[in-house]
Parts: sequence; structure tokens; C-alpha cells
Amino acid sequence: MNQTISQIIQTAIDAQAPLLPVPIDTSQGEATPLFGPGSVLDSLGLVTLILNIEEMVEMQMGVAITIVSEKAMSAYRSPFATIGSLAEFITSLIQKK
Amino acid sequence: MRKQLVTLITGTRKGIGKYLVKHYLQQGQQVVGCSRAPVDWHLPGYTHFCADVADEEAVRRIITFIRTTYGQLDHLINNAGIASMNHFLLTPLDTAQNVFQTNLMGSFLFCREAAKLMAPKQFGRIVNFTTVATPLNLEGEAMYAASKAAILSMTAIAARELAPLGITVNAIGPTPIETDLIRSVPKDSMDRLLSRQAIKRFGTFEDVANVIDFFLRKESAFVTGQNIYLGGV
Repeated sequence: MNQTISQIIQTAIDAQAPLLPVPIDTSQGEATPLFGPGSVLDSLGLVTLILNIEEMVEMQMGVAITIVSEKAMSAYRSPFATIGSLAEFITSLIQKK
Repeated sequence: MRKQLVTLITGTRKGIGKYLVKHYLQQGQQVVGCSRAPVDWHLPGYTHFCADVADEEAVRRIITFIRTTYGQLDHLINNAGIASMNHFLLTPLDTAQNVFQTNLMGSFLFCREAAKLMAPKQFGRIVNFTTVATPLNLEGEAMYAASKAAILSMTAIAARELAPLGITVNAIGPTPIETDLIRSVPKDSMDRLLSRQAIKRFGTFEDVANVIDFFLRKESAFVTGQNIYLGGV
């Protein structure tokens, strides 16, 4: 499941590329920063990315999830910090379904 | 040529919602609707869901159906609403909570989920329902008017946040229309209310549809965050 989710995140990042001044450099793999220091995504970019990921999770995995929640926003370690943390967070959401 | 437009309307079992279903079907649109109870009518091109608009999972099921069936959603009309006439001192907490759940949370959930489906297409029209009870400060309608005032704020702010996604968010504030919602209101109260309008008559379904038609038009892309009260309130 982790691999599918990582693939979905990567596809969503690729889809975002034409809208960004500089594409996200994913050479760091799971450690690639998504939001915060070192990221090229602004808040609207992050929103669009999350929407794309939610849609792809639903279409490809048949599970409707809402990624942003009180828990996600208040977590000590933000799930949106890196590709790896986001993949881990989405996995936990799907497992709870 | 654009694909057939898809319109989602909440609260379609009767009254304005039912009228709007027919209105947009006549314009050749695909219409999806919902209400708590089943509808006792069927129209080609219309799909009905039994759902509580404040139930997040139920809202998501409807949006998922639209995504998988049509692949797009062009219009959302957040018509579902409940009213409650109570003296302020005699308003039960349950009543206040129900009014806010259905009116505000229902509109919020549908706005949020519909906008997610509209965003990838960079096009969407959302119309929320407010009420003249808010600017008129109608006695007996404190929680109803407050819930609709919250919708007004939500509309204005959502309009700004969704503008970069090509989605407009507007609202219509109808005057009283002779529907079930006002049947329990005493006649003298209703007469007093009508007398405070610039145009002193009940509204009609056609009056409401006319404003919604304007908001939904492709050409209304530069109109967002607005609220139009009917009757000159």
C-alpha cells in the first residue's frame, strides 16, 4: 500500500509542475520537503496537491479520505513536511477506514 | 461545445428545491439532489439521494457518485435549510443546534466537497441560501437568522479562497415564499414582514431561479462573494 501511495503523491507532484515557478525537486525521495522551509509550494499549491491526492486515492484505491483534519494540523511533526511523512499519514488514514 | 452541465441541488423533496430540479432539467442539465426523506416523484435526468446534509460521509458519497458518473460538477445550489420560530428565551438548545447543523454545516460540507471536484476543471458555481430575516432582525428567528448570517460570512470568505480555482461563490436571500417553511408563521407577522420589503409581496420560485440563473451563467465569472436579497430588502 505504501508504494501505491508514494506513487500517487509522485503523480500529483508531477501534475503540479506546470503551475510552479520551479518544479519540486524530488531527488531526495521520501525526504523531499513539501511544505515549509525548502519547498516551492505555496499554500494554494499545497491545497491543490492535497485535492489531487485525495481524488487519486479514491479513484485508485476506492477509499474516500479527508487528509486535512484537526489532528493533521496540530501534529507536532507536520504530515505535510515531506513526501515520506505525507505517505505515512495517508496510510494511517486508510488503515482506519 | 461544452459537455452537459451537472448541477447538484440540496433539499429537493419539495418547495424551491423541487422547482429548481425541474428548472435545470428543462435547461438540459443533469441534476443530482438530496433530501432526508425519499421523493415521491421521478424525472428523467435526475438522481436522488436520501441524505442528511450535515452527515460528512453522506455528502462524500454523493460527490463520489457525481465524480464517477459524470466526472465533473459545474453547479452547486445549497438550498437545504430548516427554520425555527421561537421566542429567544424559549429556544431549546437542540433546536438551535439542529438549525446550525443543517443550515451552516450542511452548506459548508457541500461547498467544501463540491469545490474539491470543481477545482481540477478550474470552473464551478456555488450558490448558497441566506435570508432576509438577517438584515431585518426578525423577532423569533434569532438562531435561524444567525445561522444564515454565518452562511453569508462563509460565502464571502470562500469566494476569495476559491477564486484562484475558477470557482465563484454567491448567495441569494429570498423573501418569504408560500412554502412549508412559513406555513406555521402567523398571518399578521407575515404581513408585518412583507411591509418592510420595498416590493410588498411574497416571493415566487421564479424570482429565486432568476437570480440563481444569473450566478450560474458562464458569463458571471467576475461575480463572486455577493449576496442578493430579493424584494428590495
